[in-house]
Amino acid sequence: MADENNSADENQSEQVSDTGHSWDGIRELNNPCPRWWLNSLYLSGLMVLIYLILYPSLPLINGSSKGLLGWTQMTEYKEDLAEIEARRAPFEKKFSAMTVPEVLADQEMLNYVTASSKVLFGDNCAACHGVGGQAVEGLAYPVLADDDWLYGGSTDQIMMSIANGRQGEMPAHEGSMTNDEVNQLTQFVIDSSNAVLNEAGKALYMEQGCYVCHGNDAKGITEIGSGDLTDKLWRFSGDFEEVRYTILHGVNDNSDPKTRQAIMPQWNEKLAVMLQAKANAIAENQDPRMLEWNKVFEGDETERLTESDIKKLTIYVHQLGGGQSLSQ
Amino acid sequence: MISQHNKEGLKNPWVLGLILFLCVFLIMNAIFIYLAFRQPPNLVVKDFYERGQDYHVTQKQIEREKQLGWSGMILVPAKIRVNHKHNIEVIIQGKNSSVLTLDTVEFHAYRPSDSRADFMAIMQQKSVGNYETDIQFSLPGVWDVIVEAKQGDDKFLLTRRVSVYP
Repeated sequence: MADENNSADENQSEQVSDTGHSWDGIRELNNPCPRWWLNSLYLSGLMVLIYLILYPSLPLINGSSKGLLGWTQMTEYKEDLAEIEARRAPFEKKFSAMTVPEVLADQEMLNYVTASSKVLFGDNCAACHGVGGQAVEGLAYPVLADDDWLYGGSTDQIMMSIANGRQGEMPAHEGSMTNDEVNQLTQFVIDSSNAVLNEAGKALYMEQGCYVCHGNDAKGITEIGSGDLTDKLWRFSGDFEEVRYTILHGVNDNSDPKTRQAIMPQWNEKLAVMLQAKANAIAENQDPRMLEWNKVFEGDETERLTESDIKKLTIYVHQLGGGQSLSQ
Repeated sequence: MISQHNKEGLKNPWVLGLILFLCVFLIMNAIFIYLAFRQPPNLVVKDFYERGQDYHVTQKQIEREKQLGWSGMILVPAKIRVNHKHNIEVIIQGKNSSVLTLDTVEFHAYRPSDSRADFMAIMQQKSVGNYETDIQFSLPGVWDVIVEAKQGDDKFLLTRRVSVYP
């Protein structure tokens, strides 16, 4: 069978024309490449030539050939960026002229702000507050998704929290209370969160002056960011030992090396001063539009986020919590 | 007659061209190899093998860092300009918001494409858990910032990529 095949091959090669060359008795057959293959090869060569002429490709002593089109990755990047900015421009222009409540009432703008704030939130806030404003396991930072706000959940209050940062204080009580008193007060706090009446604990709460910061009803005071002790939402932890620890060592009390640390950084000092001046003007029945901002603030302002970024984040964060009334 | 014994082929311009092409190809290779050794792109560390062997040590260190439960963030200006002095702050806190007494907090800036531009600075304590330093970036573009906080044998790293504008 193999012999039959060999002889068939030999017969076939006999029929193929050759070039007339014989290499030590071996004929050089004339088997031209298929026409389509040759055309493809020539076309490829032509394309390479066109590419060399149009695009930067040939390495020279100083840089490379520029190409007739003058194309570079950087120009393409800039063109793409310009295209994106051109698409954003009408939204950004409209956004800069709108107040936060106006944006919240405009569904199209709200969609735009929400989409563009995700990156801002991820870059600047998510490290502490989690990607969706939820608690990060093992880290004791305020949850933004529960609509419970230490410093208030109105858009003005949220904007102030971002611009100025927050750093509440609770004094350490290790030296001023006995162990029994601390335990009794701890139990009162836990009972309050479970709506259990604890008369002795309440008496101690009043006697120790805890009401000054947490209020007579223990619901906290928004102006100073003190926690509501009557709900089940905990700034640090609701475990007995953790609550006890907070009472013993306080929060941000530099006199106690074991104190809890709770710092929300300041993101835009100038905006914070402007917001405060605006709030003061309103409180004094003045028109905040008449304030001369340059006289209100002078100095090297801390600007880690622009005013526009903070406005966007305010809207984004306000929605994370479900959204309280716009102003309080 | 054309044959393998025919030396006339060496006078053929196509053959000469092929030999020339081969020579150019080999010379270019030699130049590239020389330049690769002479001007390394700094993407490969010298002790890569030892580091590879120490991989499990690095893994353990990362696991230990996670167990510490420390957290924090690097605060940078909204717009960083080249050759301008900027204040950089970090906030670092321990597990469950405890205060840390750190031995050192170092700021490292890495230029991804050029290690010669890398620099570091010691951060000073501004307040409890808050450290700062003034730095300036010498080149525009992307920089990787790493803050390394140490307390005894415990180490904690914070990272952030920043863009520096011209």
